[in-house]
Amino acid sequence: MVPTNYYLILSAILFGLGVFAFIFKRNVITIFMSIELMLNAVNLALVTFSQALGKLDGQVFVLFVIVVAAAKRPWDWGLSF
Amino acid sequence: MVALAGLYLLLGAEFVAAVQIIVYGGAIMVLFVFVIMLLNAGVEERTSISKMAGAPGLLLVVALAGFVAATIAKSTESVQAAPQTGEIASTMGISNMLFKEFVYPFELTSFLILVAVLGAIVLAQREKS
Repeated sequence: MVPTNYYLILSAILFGLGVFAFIFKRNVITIFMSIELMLNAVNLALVTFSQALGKLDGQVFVLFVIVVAAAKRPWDWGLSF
Repeated sequence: MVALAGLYLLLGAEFVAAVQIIVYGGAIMVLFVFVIMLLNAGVEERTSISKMAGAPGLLLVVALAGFVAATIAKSTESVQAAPQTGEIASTMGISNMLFKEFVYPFELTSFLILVAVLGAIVLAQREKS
């Protein structure tokens, strides 16, 4: 069983990489990919806490995050053209 | 992204792992490749970072890193994994919550998807004219 802390540290590292790329890259596609990276980091943290607390609310929130990100995506790419 | 799905499996969230593989491995990466192919992404232009913005920025980065490190060092208790509640299977529990407690946000997301589709159609039509 992998300790919960490791998942949280990995999630923080992924989120930091996303923020770094979001700030320092000047390409639109790269910025959108960094946004995806940050969303995935938050999803990992949500699932980790959901498992650590023994409740399923976190996984439901992950599903909502995925759906809202999918709804945001055509708007992004319409802007990038 | 697929590795993240593996981590979800390791955490016992099978349904989220399946959704992650389908959405990210199937849809998002293919769409990114298409967009890069259509846009002909070139070499990104470099701008000279101003020295004046660099100094307070570096200071803020050091302050934030110190704050995070202090918070981590202060938190001695580690999160303990709860005993696995075996009475509900994970996927069944998710669908129970999704259709009972979270039914209003769930319907709202379907409306959000509808608005996104309409927005994509409007954007595509504006491109043509």
